[in-house]
Amino acid sequence: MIFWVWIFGLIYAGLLVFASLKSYKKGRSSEEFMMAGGNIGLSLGVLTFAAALFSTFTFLGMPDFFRINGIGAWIFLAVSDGAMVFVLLWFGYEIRKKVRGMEFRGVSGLISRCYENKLAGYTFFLSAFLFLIPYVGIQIQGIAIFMDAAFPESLPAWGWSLGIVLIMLTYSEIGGLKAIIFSDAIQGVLLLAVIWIIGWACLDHFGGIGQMFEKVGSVKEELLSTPGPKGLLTPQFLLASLIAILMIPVTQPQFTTRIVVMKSMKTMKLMAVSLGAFAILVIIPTIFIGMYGADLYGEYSSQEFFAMAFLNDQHEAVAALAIIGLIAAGLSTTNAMIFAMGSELRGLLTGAENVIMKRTKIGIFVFSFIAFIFSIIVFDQLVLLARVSFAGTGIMGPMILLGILSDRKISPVMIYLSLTGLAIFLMSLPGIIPNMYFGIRLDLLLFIVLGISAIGIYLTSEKRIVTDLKVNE
Amino acid sequence: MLGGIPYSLWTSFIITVLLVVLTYIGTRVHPGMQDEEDKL
Repeated sequence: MIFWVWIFGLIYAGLLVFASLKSYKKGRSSEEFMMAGGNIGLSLGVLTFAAALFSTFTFLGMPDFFRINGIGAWIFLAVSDGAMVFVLLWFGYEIRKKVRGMEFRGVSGLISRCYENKLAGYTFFLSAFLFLIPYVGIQIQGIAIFMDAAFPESLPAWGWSLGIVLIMLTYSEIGGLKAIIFSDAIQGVLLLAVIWIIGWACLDHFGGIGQMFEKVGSVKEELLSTPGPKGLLTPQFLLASLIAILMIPVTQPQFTTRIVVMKSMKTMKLMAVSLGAFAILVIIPTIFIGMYGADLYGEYSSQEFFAMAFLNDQHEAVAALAIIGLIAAGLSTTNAMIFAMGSELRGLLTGAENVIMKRTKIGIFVFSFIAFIFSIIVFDQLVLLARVSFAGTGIMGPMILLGILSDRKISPVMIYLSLTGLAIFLMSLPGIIPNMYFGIRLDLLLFIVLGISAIGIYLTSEKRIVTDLKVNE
Repeated sequence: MLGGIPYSLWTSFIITVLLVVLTYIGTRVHPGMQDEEDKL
């Protein structure tokens, strides 16, 4: 297998070097570095959005989620993604309309301007920091564990993590957002190819889709319906997950940035539709891998299942491709997130442009370092941590939507409510406060309360004075 | 089960496809989108 890893690894590394050199331009402006010049076409747009969205979480997490919780996992991710692309289209239109004619410097900067209050930007930045960095950490850890399984005793797990962080930093430092978008495109194609090769092999094991479900049903009947054997996929869990995923384009800065840097409205809307189709194509084979795991490795730990389904049971070349595909998947998502955090920081800084740029780069380095520390100390299930991350950033959804959609002067009460919501959600994670109230999940309750508050605040707020003047004229 | 595929998977798959189709229809009928395109 080592031979194949070298072959595919060198091809992948070569493509990365080519992409970063192609993106490197001497004396480029910070706008070019951070926002790729705002000129991303359809194919690159679809692939970069897909690569940032479908990461280690989809590659490893979803087969594992299907294996443990059964076919309801499709509702959890695919149905939510189908609805999310609709929100992406609508929100994409609104945010592009809002930022037209002004320089976009991240959601934090934009939201500060909308509320005419810097606290709004800081609140958003805080939620992104709190929920994206651990997610980046666990992705890095996922790759490190996988590499450790593939090459035991060659490097300690933290050594792999460090290597990944260093590649990520060097790469984004040389090429900026454009290089990250190119690497996303490489990863998007790789992910789709690898997941289908492995998925197909797993389906082949059963001899067909009908036989697959028949076999899995005989192993564990509950896998073929909701809420699944563990009773996790209840209507409430799925509804709260749907809302959290719907908020991804709104509240996760790496996606909002990608919407804004698309070349035109036309490419943005085609990107939304293509992304929906891409999501269906990527998630289908994860069912096959998950069902394969449920049949053969139902009682195994996640790590053991990954090692068996992705490495041991595959042809050497396919296993090597899986390793490279996984590195690519993790690298592009973590890269996108860390870079987006830098971009958000840039939007909050004031002063001379070269000083801001310098501080942003230091910020990216610091975020990477914290993510690296997390990758060593945190242990959790990939999908469930991803879900916490989506829900945590999703809490900011009503505040951002109100800021961007409203044409009125908005009361800062919405910022305080969002901060309170964030604090309550954070307290529920370690169990300081319960996560169920009146039989409703806390995250769902927070979405409802903040959503209703946003509507209430909009209806009671005054029209902007500027608008009034125009009316008077 | 329908055609060897669990009922929940069939229905949720169809819903996903319909949502993507709905998004496509959205790109065709949203009046504001064309306006923005012209201005760009």
